[in-house]
Amino acid sequence: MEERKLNERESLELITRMIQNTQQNTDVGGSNQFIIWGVTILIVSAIVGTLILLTNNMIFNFGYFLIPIIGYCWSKTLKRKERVVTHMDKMLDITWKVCGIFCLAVPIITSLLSTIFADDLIFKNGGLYAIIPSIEIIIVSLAIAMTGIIINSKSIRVAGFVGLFISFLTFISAPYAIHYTFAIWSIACLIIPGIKLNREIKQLKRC
Amino acid sequence: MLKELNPLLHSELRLAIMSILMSVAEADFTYLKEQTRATSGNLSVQLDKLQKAGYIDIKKEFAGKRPRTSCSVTQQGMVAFEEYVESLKAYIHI
Repeated sequence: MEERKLNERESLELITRMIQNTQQNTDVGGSNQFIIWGVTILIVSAIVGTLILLTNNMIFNFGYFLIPIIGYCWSKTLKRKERVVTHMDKMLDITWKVCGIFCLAVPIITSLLSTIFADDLIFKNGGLYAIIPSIEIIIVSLAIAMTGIIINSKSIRVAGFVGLFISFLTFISAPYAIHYTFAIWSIACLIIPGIKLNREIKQLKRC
Repeated sequence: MLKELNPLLHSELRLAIMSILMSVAEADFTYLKEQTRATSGNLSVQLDKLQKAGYIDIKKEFAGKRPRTSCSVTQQGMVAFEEYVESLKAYIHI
């Protein structure tokens, strides 16, 4: 392509062609991110749950802080810089960044409040800690549902709403079972939809 | 009276670059080169012209050890492109 003047009709044709080519060359990535974070949550929650079950020591709950560390490092190794970033990619990036910030903020704020207002009835005996898993699941499920809506994937949308349902199970399940509920949630709402999305993308590429 | 077409956009390569950047949030140099089938030198010159006019933003960074140049359209660029398309429509009576 050179720097030549076009007539009006050629200009409109060129604009249409370039926009169509760009749309054909961009696809939705990120399904591996679902699998990476799902496996990280599954492994960490299974280990934390088992350690607490065996030792009855609640200090192992801090092990959950390994999720953002492992997940971030793992996803960084697989993430390659895309040659083209679509508006959809940007929207998804922002959605998950906000989700990540909220997920980190919830346990930190809860810990701070429980330390400062230790004698207050609501915080006594670490009462507020019990609702952390539910809040975390609700936040991530919301991000999953939003992702499903943005990328127009039914399986991801459904996973988000299933996650919302599972979050209520954590309220009624026994304290030890919460960790395993967390693990089941990661399989149902992150790993399986991630694998399904991977397949959908591969099928789309074949067409 | 018909409005004069923006001379900066009324050129094959610059119009192609702007059309690509209008449909994505960001695209890198290699991608633009592939899509426009332009030479690196020519593409650089045209990107520079668009940047100087304030139509695009050029970001230079490193992806691992490799340098990476990514481009995105500015608000000013979007307005200019939309005006250009409106003028074109008037010319060919769409």
